[in-house]
Amino acid sequence: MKTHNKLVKRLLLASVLMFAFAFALVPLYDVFCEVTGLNGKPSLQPAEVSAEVVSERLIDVSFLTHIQGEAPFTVEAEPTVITVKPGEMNHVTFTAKNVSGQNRAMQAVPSVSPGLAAQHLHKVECFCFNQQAILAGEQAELTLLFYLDNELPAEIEELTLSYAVFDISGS
Amino acid sequence: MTDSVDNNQEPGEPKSADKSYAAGVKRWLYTTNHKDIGTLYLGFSLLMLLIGGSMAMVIRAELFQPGLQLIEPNFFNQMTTVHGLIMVFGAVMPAFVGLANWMIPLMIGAPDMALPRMNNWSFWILPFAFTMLLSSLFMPGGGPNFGWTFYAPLSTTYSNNNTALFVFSVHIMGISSIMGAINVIVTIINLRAPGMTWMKMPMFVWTWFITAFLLIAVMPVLAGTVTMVLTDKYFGTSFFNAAGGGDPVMFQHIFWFFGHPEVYIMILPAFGIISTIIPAFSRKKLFGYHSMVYATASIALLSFIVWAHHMFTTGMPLAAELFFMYSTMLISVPTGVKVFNWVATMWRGSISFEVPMLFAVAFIVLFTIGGFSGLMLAITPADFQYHDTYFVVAHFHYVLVTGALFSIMAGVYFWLPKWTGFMFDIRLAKTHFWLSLVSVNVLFFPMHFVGLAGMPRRIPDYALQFADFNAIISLGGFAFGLSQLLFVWAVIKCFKGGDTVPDKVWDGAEGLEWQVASPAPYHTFSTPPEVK
Amino acid sequence: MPVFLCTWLFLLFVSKLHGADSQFNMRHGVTDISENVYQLHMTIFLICCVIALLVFGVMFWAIWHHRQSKGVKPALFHESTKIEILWTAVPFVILIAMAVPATKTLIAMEDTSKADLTVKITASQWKWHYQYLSYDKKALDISFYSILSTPQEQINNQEDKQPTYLLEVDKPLVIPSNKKVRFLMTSDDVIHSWWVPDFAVKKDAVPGFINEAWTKVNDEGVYRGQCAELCGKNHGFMPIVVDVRSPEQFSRWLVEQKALKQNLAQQERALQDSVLAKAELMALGKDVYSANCSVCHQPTGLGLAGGGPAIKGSPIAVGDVGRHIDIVLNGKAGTAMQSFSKQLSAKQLAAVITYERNAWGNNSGDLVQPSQIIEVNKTPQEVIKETGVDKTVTPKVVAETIEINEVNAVEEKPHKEPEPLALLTREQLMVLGKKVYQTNCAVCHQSGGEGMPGAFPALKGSLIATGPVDTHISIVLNGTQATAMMPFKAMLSLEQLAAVITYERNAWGNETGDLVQPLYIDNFIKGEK
Repeated sequence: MKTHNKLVKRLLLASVLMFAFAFALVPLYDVFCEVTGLNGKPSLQPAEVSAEVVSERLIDVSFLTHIQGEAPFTVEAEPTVITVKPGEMNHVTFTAKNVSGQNRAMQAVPSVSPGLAAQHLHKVECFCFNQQAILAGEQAELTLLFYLDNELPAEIEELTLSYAVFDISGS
Repeated sequence: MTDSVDNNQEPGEPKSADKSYAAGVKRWLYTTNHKDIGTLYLGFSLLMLLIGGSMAMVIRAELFQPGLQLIEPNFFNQMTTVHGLIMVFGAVMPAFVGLANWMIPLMIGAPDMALPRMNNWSFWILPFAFTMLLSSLFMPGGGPNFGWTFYAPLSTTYSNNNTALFVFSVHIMGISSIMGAINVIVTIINLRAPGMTWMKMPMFVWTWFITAFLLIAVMPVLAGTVTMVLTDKYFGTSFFNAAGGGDPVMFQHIFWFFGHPEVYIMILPAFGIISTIIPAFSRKKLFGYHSMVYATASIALLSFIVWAHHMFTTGMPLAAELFFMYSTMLISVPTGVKVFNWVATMWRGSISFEVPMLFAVAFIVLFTIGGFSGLMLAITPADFQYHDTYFVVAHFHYVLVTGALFSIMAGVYFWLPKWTGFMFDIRLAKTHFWLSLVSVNVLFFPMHFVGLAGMPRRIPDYALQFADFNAIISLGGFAFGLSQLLFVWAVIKCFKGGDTVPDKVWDGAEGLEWQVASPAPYHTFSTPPEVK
Repeated sequence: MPVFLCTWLFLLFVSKLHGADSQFNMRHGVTDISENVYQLHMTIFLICCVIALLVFGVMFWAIWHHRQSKGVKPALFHESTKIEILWTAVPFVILIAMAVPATKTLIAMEDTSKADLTVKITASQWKWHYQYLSYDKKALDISFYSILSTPQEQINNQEDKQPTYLLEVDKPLVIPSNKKVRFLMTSDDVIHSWWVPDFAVKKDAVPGFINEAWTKVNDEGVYRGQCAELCGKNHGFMPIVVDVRSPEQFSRWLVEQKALKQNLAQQERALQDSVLAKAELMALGKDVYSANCSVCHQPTGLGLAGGGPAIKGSPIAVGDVGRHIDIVLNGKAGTAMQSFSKQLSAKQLAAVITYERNAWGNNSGDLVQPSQIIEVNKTPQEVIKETGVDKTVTPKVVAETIEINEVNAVEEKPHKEPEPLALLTREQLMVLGKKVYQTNCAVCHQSGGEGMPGAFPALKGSLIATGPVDTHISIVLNGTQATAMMPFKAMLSLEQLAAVITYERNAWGNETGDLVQPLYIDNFIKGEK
């Protein structure tokens, strides 16, 4: 009986740990994504300003915004495509408008395609780091400050940075 | 031959003189006897097989012809979802647990399972889980309709309000499985008869031992996943909601981290059963026992690093796709070893074809077909074409129906005479086998064709080019469904009576379970046997 | 011998498989990638077949020759490390042989760079939205929804199914051949999967995230696919149709689309002031209803248990107009009722709401005009703009928020039928009558005139359809009080009325021989007054 109890306790502990592991998978997944570029999830932490040498490679970066469902916003980058050199800092302005009659908060969720490029795109400043509150009918200029690092795989010549824009006023 | 232990006890239905258990319903409610609980599990899984099977009949009836005839799409989705859940968690898994309960103590010379009370609980919470799941079908809003894989956000933001019932029933199923697994592990580690060393353990015990560890490793992960679904849906968390920083694809990673080992949970005990039956009717020892054990263990280990092959189309980076393709292909090596060993066991044996052997041979051929389509599915570029089509449906039904289910039936026919003391009606059982064999292939083989031709899975209606094959598939389905009634009949008939059998029912069978009387007495191996 | 027989049968089977797009096998498709995938599939399939033949061959040989009934004594061997190593190693080598071509194809598939055309695909329950982003480095501004166009009657087995049943849409995606097309995929609600077998492209559309895929189609033609990821109730009803045209034709199509868009914008503006007749609204409304609403709410407006609530007699459809408009435009949160404000034009919205409020005995009599829709749909910004308070808003935004989407079904119909009321032949009356009947009466009275017992009376052999002509005309013109039979006077032209009554009096064996002429109806109406 004693031997049973010891073993049972260990096995129960193992299953409790595995239950906890399921939840630990959530942060692990983010790390995993960052390392492998899975799902094109770029980091949501501000990066340091580029200290890298500006290389001569030319990369086309397109900006895409997707208003999720019925979110009452319009968000547009101007221009929608820029050509950048890895290592150099780039500044892009997005114009966001709240087209509803109420004050609203939006959250932009970035996604990079091809996913492998995500870990090489460093955002020094991004409106996606925080929620953006926009008053009824107002428009706001949103800033994106980023650079690509020199480790960007050679086969990547163009990439898309997409923002899914959610209305999170309720929550 | 018959140095049976405790075989002075009366076989069959217990006599009223035996005071070791209560009479009537109480016997079953309070029982802590591994044989009673094994019977309960097996009876329950048979009931679930019939319920899940009738849902499959509804699905096939709707798909018999193009157009919507019988049910509307939402109900169709509930049918596919609940069919999957019932078959996986209600039919296949409890059947294996039932066989484990019945046979593991007999095979290792233990008097009972190590934790008999927990054994009772782990069974009796199951009916509640499935009542809860099935009752949601009749509630306003309906049952779960997001597929047994319950991908978020279809199962969170976009599901009906009965999702909580689904979540709790999965929780209970998980708790039941974990308790069952703990019981199996403790029994095997602590209660083996003297002399029963690890490498003398029967293959069925080995495969269950490894399966039990898989269960403890992944069922809690499933519980965690459904808990996240629950909190996402009802408590405003956003594990799987991009707006709140979550990620719907993460759901699939966590789910399949459970889901792929789960697939092996449903097939490893089957390997054990087949490895028991093939030598018995080839009258030759299992070829490569050691490599069989290692192969089983390596399949179990590999099953933890292949999960993302279920989600190649979610858009992974190339490196990840390559990794999961290679690791998945690798699984076919130990699986191949198993098949080769079975064939080598039969080679130059003295083979006879009793019903369990018929099912076992059918298992080898048809499971291998399922294995081949599995290998094809592992090839990422080709998987883009196969994924979420009927090709996948064909694949997993070959491994789960002609694999897991056939092995369970082989096992039941193999041990049924030991349980009841009577030989089953052989003609009836053979009819059941041949009808099942033919109809199951009519049912599932054309699914490969419609899948390759482009028919997605989980659709209630389809384009006209798939019509002919779907009609054939449905006819095969009805035939297969009806054939299983013969199985029910054969089993019931065998409990009622028949030719009495000797202790060693099959002349080529080996193992401690054949040393006890037929039918197996209520208490066996009260004094442990000596294993040489 | 059985082995040879099996081999022969097998080869026969394989040769059948290898033909062009056999219904037993994967499709060759129309891209280099799809051909590669096909070849890869066949290679692996054949390797599997050879292994199967060998293994099962050995097994069945043993089954045949090592039977107990032959009196064979079992051998005693049961272990051989050499053999175990051998059959671990050999499969390993075979796997490597499989992995090499698979890896090559995969690398080619994942290279999305240097695309000529970029299309953003947005999935939602249960339709696709295509937005053309750029072509040859030039930005494009074309976007439209693509929705299943199979009539609900075919799905419900009331009509014969066309060959493209469930694989047809109102407006296909048009792409050029021999150009690299990049798809950026995302979703508005649940996960969907965009799959065209002929391109070997299947990629999940994940809400909040972007996915990429590409294709380069060699042959022009129309290719069909379906959503491949379970996405809810109508997962089986969101097909994909891709129309691949030559680059020249594609460029022409682009120009057409631009013109069309401008036209529509103008029309939309014109609509603001125009008032449409009930007949026109009802006719268009019925089309829009069939295409967009009838899957859930059913052609009869009776809805589906557990699927879509009934519209017939519902408080929303007969109650406050504003609430009705709001639900159709913005959907109802937490239900399958989605927002249609982006998907349908103001005219279509006005028509379908009018239809819902007047069909199936919902005789509210309300006419909703496009101008009302535009008014409701207007965002506060536009209101600000009109009142001139805010000057930052550019006209571009207006175009966007109204989001005009061209749908093929919209055709301008003349408001009035031609004036002179000519005498029509029986033939003409019957043909027209049948058409009118099918669109206006068959929903209730059924196409065979048999009605629906307990709900809608039969016309076949009925007293009304075979009795006095004037009673019949009166009922069709004015409806029957307190029943679902509504007045058709305002909905149908004189010719249509005459034709449908003639049809009802002569079809299904009613053979009264009565021919009702438009002139007669005209006089009848005048007489009523």
